[in-house]
Amino acid sequence: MNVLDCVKSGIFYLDGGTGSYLQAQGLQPGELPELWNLEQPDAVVGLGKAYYEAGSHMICTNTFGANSLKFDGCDGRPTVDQVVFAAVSCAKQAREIAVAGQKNRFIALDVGPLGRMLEPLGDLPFEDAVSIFAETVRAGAAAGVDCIMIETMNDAYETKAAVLAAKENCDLPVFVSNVYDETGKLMTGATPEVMAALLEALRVDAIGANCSLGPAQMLNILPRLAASTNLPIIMKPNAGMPRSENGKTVYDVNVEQFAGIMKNMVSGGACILGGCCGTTPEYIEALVSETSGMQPVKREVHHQTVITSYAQLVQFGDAPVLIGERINPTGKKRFKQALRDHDIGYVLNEAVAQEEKGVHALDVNVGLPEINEVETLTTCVREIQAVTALPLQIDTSNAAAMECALRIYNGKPMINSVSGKQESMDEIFPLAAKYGGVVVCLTLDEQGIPETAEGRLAVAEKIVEEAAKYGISKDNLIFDPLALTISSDNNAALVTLDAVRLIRERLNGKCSLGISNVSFGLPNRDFVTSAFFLMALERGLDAAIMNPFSVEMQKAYRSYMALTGRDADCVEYIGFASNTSSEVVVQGGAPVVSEFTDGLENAIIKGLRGDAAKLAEAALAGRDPLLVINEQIIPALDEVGRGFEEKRLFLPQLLMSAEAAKAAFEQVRKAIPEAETKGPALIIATVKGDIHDIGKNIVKVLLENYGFSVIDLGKDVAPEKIVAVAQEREIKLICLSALMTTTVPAMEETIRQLHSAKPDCKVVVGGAVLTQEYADMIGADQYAQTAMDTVRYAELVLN
Amino acid sequence: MSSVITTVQGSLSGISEQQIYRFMGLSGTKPAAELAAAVEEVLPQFLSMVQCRACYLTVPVEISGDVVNLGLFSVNSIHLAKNLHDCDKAVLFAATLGMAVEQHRRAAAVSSSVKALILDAMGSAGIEAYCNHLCLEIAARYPGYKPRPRFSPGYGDLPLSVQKQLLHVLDAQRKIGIAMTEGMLMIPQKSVTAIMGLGKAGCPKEKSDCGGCDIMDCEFRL
Repeated sequence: MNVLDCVKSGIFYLDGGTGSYLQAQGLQPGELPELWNLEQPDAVVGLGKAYYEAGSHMICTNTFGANSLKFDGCDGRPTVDQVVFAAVSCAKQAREIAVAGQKNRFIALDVGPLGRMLEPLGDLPFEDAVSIFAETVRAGAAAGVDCIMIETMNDAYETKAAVLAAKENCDLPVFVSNVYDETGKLMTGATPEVMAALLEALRVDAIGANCSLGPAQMLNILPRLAASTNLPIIMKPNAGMPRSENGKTVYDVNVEQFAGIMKNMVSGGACILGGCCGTTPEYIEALVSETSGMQPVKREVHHQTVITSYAQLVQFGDAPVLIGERINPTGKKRFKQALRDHDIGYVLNEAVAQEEKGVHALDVNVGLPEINEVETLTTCVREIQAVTALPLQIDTSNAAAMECALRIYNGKPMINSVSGKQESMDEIFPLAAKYGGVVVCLTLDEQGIPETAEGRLAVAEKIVEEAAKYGISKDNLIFDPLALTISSDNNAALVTLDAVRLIRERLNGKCSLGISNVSFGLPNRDFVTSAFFLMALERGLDAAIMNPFSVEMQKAYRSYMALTGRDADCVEYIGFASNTSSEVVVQGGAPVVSEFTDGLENAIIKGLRGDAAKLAEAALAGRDPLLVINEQIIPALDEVGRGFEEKRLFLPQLLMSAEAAKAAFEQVRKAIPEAETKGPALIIATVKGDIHDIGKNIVKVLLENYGFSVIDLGKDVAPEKIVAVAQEREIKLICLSALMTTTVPAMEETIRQLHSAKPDCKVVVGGAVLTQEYADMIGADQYAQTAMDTVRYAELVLN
Repeated sequence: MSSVITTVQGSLSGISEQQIYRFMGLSGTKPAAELAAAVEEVLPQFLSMVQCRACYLTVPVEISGDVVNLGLFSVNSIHLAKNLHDCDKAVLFAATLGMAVEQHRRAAAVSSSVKALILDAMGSAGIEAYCNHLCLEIAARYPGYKPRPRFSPGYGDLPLSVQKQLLHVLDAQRKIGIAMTEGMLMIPQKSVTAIMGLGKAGCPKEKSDCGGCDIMDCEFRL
């Protein structure tokens, strides 16, 4: 019998704590327990034997921290292979010598977290994490384990890296257990529902929770998992909380209490049981004797269509899902330019602004013929996920870009899209099967878009059949019966609406539409789009890719929610409607600025961003834009800059004024050709190894205010990248930031490479740890103590 | 010797606005009304996201010359030796405000550097306030002992690399979710590791938190 058969046949018992047992044998805090596999194997074998004899079906190897970050084979440290091999040997020996317990006994390779945080929150690249886990998995599989147990993971992204490594490097069952805190979340925000969706999408074999919580608290996690997954559920709680008693660690849940609560775990739907910190073979023995007569409960099978980010979940089918369409270069000059300039900040702004407008997910499309879409899409997905927890819809027709983006996506995404064309299904379904996601299915095929609703339904049915071959159920498909423009075919909308109804009724499928297309070529498009949106909602539309900045769409959506009883006491509607001025509603006219009489200069000096934008717009009405810049914005900025240099004003005021000026500039730029406002270019970056970027961003805002074209390479930037961009774009000034003493050597190396590869460029450095002395020592051309110092130096070098 | 790592959760009842402005670089001056309004608006959001956690371990202290033996490891530091003078135990601890405040700051930075700066300053003031509270709470568990000012890696001549050792012996990644980058930055960034001496006798009180530091031109100096 293999592991999965055994799980199906009844309650499956795991082991208990390892650390607590080894500590009792003399393991000290800070000592690496994995070394005991090599140095004190008898203790490790004894532990395994005790668990088997207590009734565990499967024990975990003593390999929680057995990864190549800790075991690199250098300076007398063993390699991962050596540690894992020794650990598996200990477990096998234990299995052989155990004299009581279960008939079927298995060994799981224990895979714990790496102790490093993945990018973008930390500095470990996702693929590096996958490679590190892969080494451990390969070693375990080669040594002959029966299962991979990924456990104690407190971050969704690291969990995904470990699962991919396991799936790609062995054919063994994969069990995954996460650490939830008392608020029911992982450290980085995922809920049990999010993890269930993500892990089921990655096709693991069992999911659950371990560590951190005692059994009573973990009991609160169980129903949430049970309601979100069809997979077997693992529960491995601690023996409560530890405390010190006469120099010994004691846990507050004793053996009987533990076994008693674990009984409730079985009736709650868990079928894989064990213990974590503080539990010993006695706990497992009591657990087994208390529950071994019980049968696992038959759980209801769920059909849910859900997508997630690393923290948020969106379910299709209840209320309409709004998917923001604005991250898309089609027909947007400014957006295209941002993509060509690698201006990620612009894309991030679009993401955050749409979130503020209340969308539930974001479509991400960065396809432009002249850019590297694989790289751009991957970067955008990663960076957008660093600033918003909204789930994403990955939108590309480039299969390579789709695969890279799906791979690094943190959560279970929407995949946009597959069509009924065989080639498209052959390309997309394998990716969807491997990485998981809800696939948007366009109802068109080799013959084009069927002209009738029946025809589109037929394509949808064909797609369902093909998807099933990859094990992708209808729960993970959402159909797009294609909104075509009514200006070219007057009946187009009717066919689409009919198709929505048919797909809902006959296929019991979910539907989504790219809603805006319907009004293409018409004046005041939003009038038509929003009416169409309402009609489609009435026929059962589940999601719309739409423009959240359209007041008409917002009106339609908010009213629909209120009218269909989905807005308790109309709270959302009232909030929206009372903040929408009737002039906007009626005419979409320009905002009014009458309440600000102090003038643009004053708004900038006081740092009033909203006022500055409105006043700049008003000032532009009767003036040459360049005069607005030179006679109003710049003098105000200079006033603030001087105040800062003379220590009358401090950083926050400087920054508030800079942002107000920036808002004013944005208005001015609308009025004049871009070329006229673009000053000399420079590069700014935080050096390799340093992930602080507040200081760098402040300097950037100021430099932009003073007219420089700032190429922001971000944080943790390798010297080679800075040199390459400097050469390619012929940049004369590089601004480098570092916050930690540990990253100053990286700054020194960057300067060295810049000076040797591009001797005509100057380097100015700043950051908390830097001093004039330090700057001289590492060969910088200039030290900037404050943000204004950098501005002044840039003026000196570039103007 | 006790080797029990205790994990605690706490809350941040409030943080002093004065401290927030200090970490924003206001150098003791009064904030303008616009800034004060912005701070007031952001503070409740910040406080709602804070999740204070800490783990600590008590170890024996032996000092010979500049070498401080903390039971689990030794470190060479004149300043720490001075700080722990006459202490027979010390508490090693790690504390954090959690990841949510960090995620919130990143998101805020996209649309407003001012808001990001305010949240960053709140994070610095917040973790300081939590550590102060935590040290008093831990010290209260040792009747007859008086706590020394906490001492962190990077203070004086105590190498930053001690941070790695502290996080390791405290199992801080697993217990409270503090990870470390290659450059030895802690993630979440608003986290602290420190050593707090416990001595039978009191020690001369420093004039301010900054009394023990010799960087005289620091903009945050009190």
